[in-house]
Amino acid sequence: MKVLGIAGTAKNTGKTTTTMALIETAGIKSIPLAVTSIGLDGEEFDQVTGLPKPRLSLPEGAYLVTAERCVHGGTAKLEVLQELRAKTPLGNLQLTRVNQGGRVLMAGPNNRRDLNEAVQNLEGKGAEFLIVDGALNRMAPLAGTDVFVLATGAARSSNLATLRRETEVLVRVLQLPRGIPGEKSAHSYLLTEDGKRALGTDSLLSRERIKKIFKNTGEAKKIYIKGVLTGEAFSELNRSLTPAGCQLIVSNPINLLLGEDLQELAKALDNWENRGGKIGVKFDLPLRAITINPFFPDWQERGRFYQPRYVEEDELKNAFQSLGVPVINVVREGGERLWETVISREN
Amino acid sequence: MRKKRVLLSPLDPVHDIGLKMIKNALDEAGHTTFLLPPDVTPGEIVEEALDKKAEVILLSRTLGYGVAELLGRFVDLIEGAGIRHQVQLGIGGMAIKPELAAELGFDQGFGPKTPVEEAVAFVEGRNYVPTQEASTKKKGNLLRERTYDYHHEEINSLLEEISEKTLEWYREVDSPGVRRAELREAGSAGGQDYLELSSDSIRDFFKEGILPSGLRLIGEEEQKSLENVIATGRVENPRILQRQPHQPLVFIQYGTGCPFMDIAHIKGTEAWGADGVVHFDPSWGAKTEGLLAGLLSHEENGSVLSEKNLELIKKALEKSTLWQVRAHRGLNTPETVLLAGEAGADLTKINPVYGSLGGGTDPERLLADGLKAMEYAARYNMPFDMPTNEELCGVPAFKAFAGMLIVTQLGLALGAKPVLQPLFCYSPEMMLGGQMEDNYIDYNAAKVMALRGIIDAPIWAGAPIGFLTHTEERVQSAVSTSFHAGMAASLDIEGISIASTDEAYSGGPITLPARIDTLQGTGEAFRFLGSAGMQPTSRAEEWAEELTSNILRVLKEVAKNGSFLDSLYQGILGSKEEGAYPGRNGRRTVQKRR
Repeated sequence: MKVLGIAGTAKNTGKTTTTMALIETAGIKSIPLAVTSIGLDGEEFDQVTGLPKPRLSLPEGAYLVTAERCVHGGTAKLEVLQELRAKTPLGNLQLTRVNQGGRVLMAGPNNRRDLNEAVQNLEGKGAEFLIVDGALNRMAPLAGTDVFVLATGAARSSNLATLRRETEVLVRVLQLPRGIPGEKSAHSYLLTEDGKRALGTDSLLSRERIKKIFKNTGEAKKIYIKGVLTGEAFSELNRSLTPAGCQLIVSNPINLLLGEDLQELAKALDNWENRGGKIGVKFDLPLRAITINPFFPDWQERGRFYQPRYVEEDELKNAFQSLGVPVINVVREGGERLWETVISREN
Repeated sequence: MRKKRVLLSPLDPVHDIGLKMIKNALDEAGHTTFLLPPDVTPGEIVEEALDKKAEVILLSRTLGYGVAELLGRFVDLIEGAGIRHQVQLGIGGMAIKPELAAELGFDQGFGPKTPVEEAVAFVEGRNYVPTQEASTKKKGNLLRERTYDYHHEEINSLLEEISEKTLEWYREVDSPGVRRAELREAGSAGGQDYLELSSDSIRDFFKEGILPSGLRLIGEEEQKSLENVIATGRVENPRILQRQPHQPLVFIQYGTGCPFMDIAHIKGTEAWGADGVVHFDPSWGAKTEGLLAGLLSHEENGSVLSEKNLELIKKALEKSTLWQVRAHRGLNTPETVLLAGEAGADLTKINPVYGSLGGGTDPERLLADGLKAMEYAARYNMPFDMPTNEELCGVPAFKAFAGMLIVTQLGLALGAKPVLQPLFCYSPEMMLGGQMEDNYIDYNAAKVMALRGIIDAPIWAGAPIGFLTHTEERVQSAVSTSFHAGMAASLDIEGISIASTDEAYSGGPITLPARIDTLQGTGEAFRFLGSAGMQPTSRAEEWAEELTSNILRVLKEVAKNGSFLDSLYQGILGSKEEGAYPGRNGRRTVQKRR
């Protein structure tokens, strides 16, 4: 069974629409599927904006991992096969099989370890794919997936130039090459001519910490970051040592994307590489496609509500030309194209 | 239990009081806590969590634009930092629900008014079990410890004299309403004898299966859906509005005609704190001899009285909800009380005075039927309240009270438990007399003080409180109800009925949110006052004395007349000039008992 993660850059970027398109196409092709979410999906109205959400339907025979309190939340008849150990605010996770197709409510594992538990228990049940619907802008639980789809669009930014710039950074990071294979260290470290030294922390988050750690560092040969390296911290790293001849390895690309400012990250990457540094990841993430959504909830300060709005679809598509990754407007181009792009390559 | 290391971070600059309370409780329980200043970044929190080796992180944050993404990134940072499975993440704040916590990737969400104990349980990895008081709402006691002792001897002896004579008359008479009730008791409702005593529309139904227009029987599939609505719509923790034992029970009225809608309104109002619900039947029911049968939906206002309809409502009610089926004003009064008793109702409503002077039923008929109904109320142990809504027609309060007190004594003599129902209203009497020119407290307080000075009986102000003070404006309506509720609490009375905020506006159909407005307003009034209260001016006492002496005067007149019934026709308890007209429905149907 392959695990397919659908991550978004923000709320309302089209994760569930993308998920639904894949479920429908799998149905047409009679390919057995399993589905779950790292947040909450399938409810009628958005928990934050109050706007209607796309509903989620599953055909008979599909598998669903959802929280206890969601099992009876839809019109589909679910048979609980097994209760998992993982807990959520809506109860323990349940591995279920759809006995009669219909709408479902889906609250799944909220972290990587619980997702792994779900994957292990689904193995051998017959599903060819597990589709994991993302939540909000959250990506971290999806770091270990076999296929990765990024959903973005006007809900992230209705300024298309900004959206394009941000997406370029995301694609650049998500396509970073794998570093030297065989990295086995359990913690972050720094390798210099004087030898290997543990950093004392797995994540680099603040300038102060970096200044302290890299004070009086000689010529760095390799830095391995097991945890998070934010753009802000990366900038400080650039100031603290000479990148030339140094290989920076981060455990996975998502751990580079968790800071506040993607543009700062882009500048830090440029700075590092322009000055002769190399960068790679220990585990890469196979980004197969970007799906785009023209919808965005527009906050009306007067009246204090969200109004549904859209950017021009063609302009949106044009903004995403030549990114080096297939870009699909799922609603317009259909699930088949998405399937061909994302899944057929796997088989 | 192992003590935990807990990091608390108020992401909001202002709203960190909840976290401070939780921190105090955790400190007291021996956990190690670290409270961060407001306005730190997600990155800084994660760094602190790493440094402090936190096992639990509690954040508080009001949701606003972009905040969900901010919190999402925080959860991602925790995962990226490799400590997600070592820390439990909790989020609290306005608008936070378990569903939202799941979407954000937290392990638990705490909404407004979460007990501190619940957050402590989360930290300690325990299931939170609410304390007994918080989780169980008990059915209210409308009677409290009232003794029914009279404090006014002269009034007491006049009432006994009037009551005795009235009961002598009652023992000699009979009516179609009384006889149908007896047939129903014998299991012959809908039979030949019953139909002979019924209106044409009832006969058409039982004989030909023809329903009056606007009515239809609920189909099997609908019935299944209804059962499903009832099974899935339980209210887990009904709100308790009262903060002090002297604060009154709160009643709402339902009667949409549609069983689905009725149940929705009942469940909604139960959840928001209503202590009791009152069944309103259609107005035509008062003019029709006999009751229909089956599960019925009515397309106009008023929910049809039938055994099946009442059974259904009973199933939908929470155990803590008091249920009243009103029966005070029409031709089916005894049967209605009998049905209500059989269906398990807690309370009923009987007042032959209002029902015949303001409700359209002939006084002789309604007196006979009302007394029979009181016998049933006594048998089924259902206290009954006596609305004095003839005051709204223009009858002065003292006359309405004199009538109500006679009915009280009749009820007591028949073994029932009467509940006084003065109106908290801006009635025509006030409009003409100016008693409410300065404030709304004094005259309403005077009513309660006068009644309390006469007899120690339970009082349920109605119906609804603030009648004729409400306008079409919702906030005004809610505030007016809230003030009247506060006044009721200050006067130490047992119950109140409240309107919704759209009743004055719609003049008919009302909505659940508008009901919640006034339930909230009432809860706020109770919270605001606690054991403090509103204070009337000295005018209240003067008016109470005036009311009492006027009541005494009216009762003397009734006694002098020698017949309570004749006094109703003669206008002693409310005259035509004042707006009270003896009703004509059922006139000349009372016979000598066979």
